[in-house]
Amino acid sequence: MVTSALVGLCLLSGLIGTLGIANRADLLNAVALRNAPLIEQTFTVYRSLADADATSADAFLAGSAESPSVRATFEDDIATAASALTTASALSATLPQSDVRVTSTGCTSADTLSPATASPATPAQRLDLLARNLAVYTGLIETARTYNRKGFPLGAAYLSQASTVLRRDMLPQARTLYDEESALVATSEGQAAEFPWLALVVVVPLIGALIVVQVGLRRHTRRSFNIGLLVATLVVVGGGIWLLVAASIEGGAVDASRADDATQTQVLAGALTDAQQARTDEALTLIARGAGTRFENDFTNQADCLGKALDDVVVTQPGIAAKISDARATVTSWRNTHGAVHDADGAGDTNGAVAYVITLGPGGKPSTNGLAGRIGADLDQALDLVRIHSDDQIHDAREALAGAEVGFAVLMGIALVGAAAGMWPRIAEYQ
Amino acid sequence: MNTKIRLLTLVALVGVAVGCSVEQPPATPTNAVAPAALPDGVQYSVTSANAAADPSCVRTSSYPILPDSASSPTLDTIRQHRKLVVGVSQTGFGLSYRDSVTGKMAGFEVDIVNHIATALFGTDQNTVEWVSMEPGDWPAALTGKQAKDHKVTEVDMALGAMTMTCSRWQEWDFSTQYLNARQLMLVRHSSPITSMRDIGGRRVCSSSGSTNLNELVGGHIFPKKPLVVSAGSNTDCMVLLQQNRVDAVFTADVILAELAAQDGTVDLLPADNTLKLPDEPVGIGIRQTADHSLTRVVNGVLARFRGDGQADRANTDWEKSYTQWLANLGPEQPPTPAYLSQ
Repeated sequence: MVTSALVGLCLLSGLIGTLGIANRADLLNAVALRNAPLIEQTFTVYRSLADADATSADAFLAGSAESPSVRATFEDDIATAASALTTASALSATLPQSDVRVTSTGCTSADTLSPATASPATPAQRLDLLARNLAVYTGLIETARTYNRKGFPLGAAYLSQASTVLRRDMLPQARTLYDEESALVATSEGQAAEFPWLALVVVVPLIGALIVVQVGLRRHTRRSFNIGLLVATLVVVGGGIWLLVAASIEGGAVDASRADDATQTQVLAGALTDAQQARTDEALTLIARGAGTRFENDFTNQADCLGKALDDVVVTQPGIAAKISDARATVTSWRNTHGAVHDADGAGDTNGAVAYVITLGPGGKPSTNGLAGRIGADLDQALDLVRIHSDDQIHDAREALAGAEVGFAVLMGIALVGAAAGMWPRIAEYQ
Repeated sequence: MNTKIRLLTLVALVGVAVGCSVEQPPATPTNAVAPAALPDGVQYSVTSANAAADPSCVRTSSYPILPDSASSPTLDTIRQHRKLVVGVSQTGFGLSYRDSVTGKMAGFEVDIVNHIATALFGTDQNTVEWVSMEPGDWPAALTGKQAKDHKVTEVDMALGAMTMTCSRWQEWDFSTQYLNARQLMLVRHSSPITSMRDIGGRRVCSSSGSTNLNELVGGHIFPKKPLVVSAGSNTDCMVLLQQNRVDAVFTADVILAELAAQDGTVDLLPADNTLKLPDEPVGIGIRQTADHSLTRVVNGVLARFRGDGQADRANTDWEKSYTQWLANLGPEQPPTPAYLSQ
């Protein structure tokens, strides 16, 4: 009776401890190998599409004199988006379907336009819709280009339709996907960082039971030690300590990744998309289709959001702080130069305003596109630093768990054999 | 014995836990549908426009001429800022559009605005602020009564083949007439529609805020009701026609002829006098002031532009500009102005 209780407890401990570790390792593996890359690919889709939007507006601003480099940038943006979409689709196919729903909180105005098509619900559906719309979008842009080259205003109508498709039907999907996956990672990491209560609940009684049995046997047999049971006890205590230490190292690393890096990534990614949206709005104020004031207001909002994001971000590394302060200064220069763009446009000097946006700002200072590009580069580098840190933390966490799964099972197996061996003479007495 | 059974049970449980999540291949769509990538501001099955009964007035009569140098608070302020703020379409090929090759505004209506700027400031260089807008923006831009969700830049005047109507006269001024337009329809070459009478149940597009949309929705002109689609601009209607999302575009002939000039695969339907479609006199919409001084100065500029009273009509600015921009409409005479007695 006592024997089978001890053996059962050993088995239960081994099972619960091993499965617990396996579960944590699975969550972290999914984060490291699928969720995090999917988030990164989704973000690439988002930012390359937003960049394509801004670039095509620039090309229209520049008239038929579309420069080879602007054209190349656009083509690379589309290629990057298409490639990232393919990778993201492959990744999302390996992930279990989640039912995470997120209401976007960023200031990005991409979703101010109402969606024209039925809303997809799953990551796979979102990616599918993005892929189908990407084909439509590039078709519209090429039609716009052809008409522009003929000097026909139908080109502007096609450009505007393309931009609408991108901002109304595509960017919000990419954004929601990004937000949902980020929330999913936060949930997974939260579960992976929990204290291993369940394992403790079984291991502690097991140790207690082993000690009680040994004390009882000592009285009964007047032998000081039962080797089998002693080995079992030591092994269980060692295994328990291993489990606790591994789980707390891992939990600490995951928490570090979750608390600092995830929030920073969220804010920096938001800032980056704000910057791109502001750049498109600025170009659209000059193309000024419909009501030009709308885009001027949008620009102001986006630039405010960008500034606020840069002020709010809690920086954890000196390298990131340098990038952020440079970006903050560049936003100020951008707003100053944008004032000059606005004034030149207001004074009827459209070509001058366009030059401030595309080539050189007033007094030989950088153009607003140049400044926006610099902000983008700063934020990209800051995001990379955060990502490297986060990847390191998750890597450390996975290292901490490495071997614990099999090791704990083996230890519990040894404890089981030890306990059985220790009890065998007693069982034999009854036969 | 007990132990053995427990052991087996546990092993079995582990096996089940590990083995039961067999992955399914993803469902692959065999016939994916192209997304409905509509331009911004398109509305299908429009059933009501602001089709209030037009009050009666003589819609082509405007205020009598003032000399260019006339003084009034309105005119003085404009001269002081050295800036005339003008709402135009950026996509009205031939009428007013931004030439994507030169990047400059060009067209028949742009010529008129440049004449007005020259009369007010002595030059048309850097004295006009072009504000791009579509018919739906006119009321707010010319009266300052802004909608909450859609702010529009306010302007001194707006052009865009704007039909002179009595209800619009109540909101803003019109100059004297500078074009006379007829309402026509544009269809694809292969279209089963061969007459404007055939549009029953077909999708017909007009720009929102236009008089044409009112005719389609509210009028009893067409024998059978069409399915009315409204778009942000006539050019968006043209895009929808090219993309097979509508069957016809319905608006002024000046606009349609210029849309057709950009695409060789569309046809203008012949005019049908039995339909009793009202003519569309075209004037400049001008912000209303008590003394109508800007309207009256503009009327003076237009009188010279049209060559009112000149025997040789071939050499007028109107004729030169018309030949340059709108020649594919066929030869045309400048309209005769009408004035209110004051």
